[in-house]
Amino acid sequence: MPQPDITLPSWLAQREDYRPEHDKTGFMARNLLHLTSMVAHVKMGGGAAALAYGTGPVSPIDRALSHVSPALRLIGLLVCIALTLIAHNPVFLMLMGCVVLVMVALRPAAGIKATLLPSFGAAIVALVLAIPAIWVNGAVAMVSIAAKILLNVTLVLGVSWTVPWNRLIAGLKLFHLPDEIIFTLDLALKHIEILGRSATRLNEALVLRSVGRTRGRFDKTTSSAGVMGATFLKAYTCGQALDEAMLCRGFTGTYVCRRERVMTPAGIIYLGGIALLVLCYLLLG
Amino acid sequence: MHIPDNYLSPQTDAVMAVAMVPVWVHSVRTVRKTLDRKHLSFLGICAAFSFLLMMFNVPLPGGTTGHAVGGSLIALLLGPEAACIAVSVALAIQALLFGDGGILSFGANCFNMAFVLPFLSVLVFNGLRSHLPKNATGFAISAAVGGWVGICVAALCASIEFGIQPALFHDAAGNPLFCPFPLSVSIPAMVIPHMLVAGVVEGVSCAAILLFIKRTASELVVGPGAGDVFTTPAKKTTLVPTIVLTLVLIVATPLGLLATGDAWGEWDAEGAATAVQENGDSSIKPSVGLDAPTYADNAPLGDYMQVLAENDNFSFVGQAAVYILSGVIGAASLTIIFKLVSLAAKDDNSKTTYAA
Repeated sequence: MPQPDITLPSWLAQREDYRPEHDKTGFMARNLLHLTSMVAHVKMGGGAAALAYGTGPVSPIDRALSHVSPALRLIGLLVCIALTLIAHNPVFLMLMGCVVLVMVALRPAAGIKATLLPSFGAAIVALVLAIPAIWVNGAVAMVSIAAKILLNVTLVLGVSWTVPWNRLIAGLKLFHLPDEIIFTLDLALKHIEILGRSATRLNEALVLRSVGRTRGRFDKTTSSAGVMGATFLKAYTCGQALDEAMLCRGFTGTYVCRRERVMTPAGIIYLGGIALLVLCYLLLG
Repeated sequence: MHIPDNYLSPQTDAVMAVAMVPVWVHSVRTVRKTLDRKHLSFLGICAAFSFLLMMFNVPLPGGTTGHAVGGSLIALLLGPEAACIAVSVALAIQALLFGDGGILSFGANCFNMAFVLPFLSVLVFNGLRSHLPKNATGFAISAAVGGWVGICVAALCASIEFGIQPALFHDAAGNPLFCPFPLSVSIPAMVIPHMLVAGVVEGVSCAAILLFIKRTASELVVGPGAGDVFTTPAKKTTLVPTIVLTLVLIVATPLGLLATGDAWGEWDAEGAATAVQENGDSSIKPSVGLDAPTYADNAPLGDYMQVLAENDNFSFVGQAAVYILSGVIGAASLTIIFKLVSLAAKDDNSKTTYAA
C-alpha cells in the first residue's frame, strides 16, 4: 500500500533548541522533607506500629510495656525524669543509665536510631549551654547535666516511639483533663496528619510539574503560597465533613472519653519497678 | 593486659597506634565486604561478650589477676578482622567510660589484644585443623590451642612493650620515666601466669562457646570456625542461648571482685612503687613519671565505680551490684553501637562469604 505523502509544516520541522535553566528546588525539597518528617512523627511510631501490626522486630521490654496503661507510663516517665534530674549520687545516675541503655539496646536498629540519636543532639546542646558551669563546679557538673538530658530525652522518645498518640492522649483522662481538651487534641493530631499528607502531595505535584526555573506567576515561591491556600481550604472541607459526620451519628455536644483500666497485672508490676527506682534513689541519696 | 597511660613512653604509644592504622583500615574494609546486617548485629553481641570477659578477673600466681579477652572466639566465629574491630571498640569503651586501659596507650592495647590475639589464634587454628582429625575433638583442641597461643603471645607483646621502657627512657640519674621493670622481670611476670591460667580460660572458653554456638546458631558462624558439621545442629537457628550466655556472664562478673590484687602492670603510681619494693631487686629503681595525671583519673565511670563504692562503704553485695551495672552499661553500649553500624550495612545474606 503506497504511503501518503506527508509534509510536515515548517514550524514543526524547525529544530527546537529548548534548554531549561538550571532548576533550584532546594527549598521545595526542604519543605517536603519537613512535612514528611512531621507526618511521620504524628503517625504511629515505628515501634508502636510493630507492636500493633507485627510489621517488624520488637524489643521484649517494649512488648511487655505495651500492656501497661499509657497513663501509668506517663506517670512513670515523669517520676523517672524527676528522679534523674534531682539525683546527685553517681551510682543512682549509673543505675538510671543502665535501665535506659538496656531498653534502647534491645530495640531494633531503627528504634535505636529514632530514640537515641536525637537525644545525643539534645545532650550536645546541653553540653554547650552548660559550659559556664565549668567555672562554678568544674567539668563534672557540665557532663552530669548533659548525661541527665541524654537519659531523659531518650526516655521520652522511647515512650513516644512505642505508644500511639491516640492512646497517650486518652491516657490524659487519668489526670482529670476535661474531655473537650482531649477531644480537641485528638482531632488536632489527626488532622495534622491528614493535612500534612495533603500538603506533601501538593508539593510533590508542584516539583514534578515544573521543569527548569519558572518565573512570573508560575514561580515556585509564589506557588508555595497556593499550596498553603489549598491546604487551608482542605482543612475547611475536612472540618465541615467532620461536623456533618458527627451530626449524622447523633453527636449531642458531650464527648465522653473512655477511661482505660490502669491496675492491670502489667500495670502493678510496672508500678513496682518505679517504686523500686524510688527506693534506690532514697537509699543512695 | 590493659596498659594504662604513663607506663609506656609517648614514642612507644605513637608507634603502636601508627602500626594499628593499616590493621584497622584492612579490618573495616574486609568486614564491610564480608558481613551483612544480621552478622554485624551479632558482632555487637560478641563485642559485649568480650567486654564482659575482660571484666571477669581470675586470680593469677603471684597475687595478681588476669582475664580472658574473647578475641580468639570472635575471630573463629566471624573472622579475625571482625574480632579486631569488636575488641578495639570494647577497649575504647573501657578506656573512655571506665578508665580501664590508657587513652594514649590505646594503640598498644589494640595491637596486643585486637590484632596479635585474633589473627594468631586463627593462624594456629587453621594450622592445627589441617593436621588433627576432622571431628569435634580435633576441632575443640584446635580452637582451644589457638586461643591459648593467641593470648600468651599477646601477653608476651605487652611484656616486651613494658620491658623495653627502662632501657630506652630514663632520666640522667638512671631513674626510669615510665614502666620501671626490665624485660627480665616483665616477660615472666606477664607470660607465665597467662600460660597457666588466663590462657587456659581463653582457650577453653573459646572452644566450648564455639561448639555451643555451632550447635545452637550455626548460621551465625561465618569465620574460620564455620564448616565441618560434626555437631547435630539445632532445628531452628536462635540467638537466645547466646544472649542467655551473655546475661549469665553479666551476673557472674562480680566473681572477678573476689580476686584480690591488681593485674600486673595495671597499678596506680603507689601500687607500682610497692611492686618495685616487693620485687626485692635493688637494681630496679622506682619510676619517676607514673604519678602524672591521666584521663583515667577522671573517667565518667572510672575503675568501674569501685573506688566510689569503697569510699561510700558499700558491702560486697553493693560493690558487686555496681560492678554488674558497669558490665550492663558496657555491654548495652556496645550492642547499641554495632546495631547502629548495621544500619549502614545492606541486608544481603550473600555477603557472608568469609568461610567460602
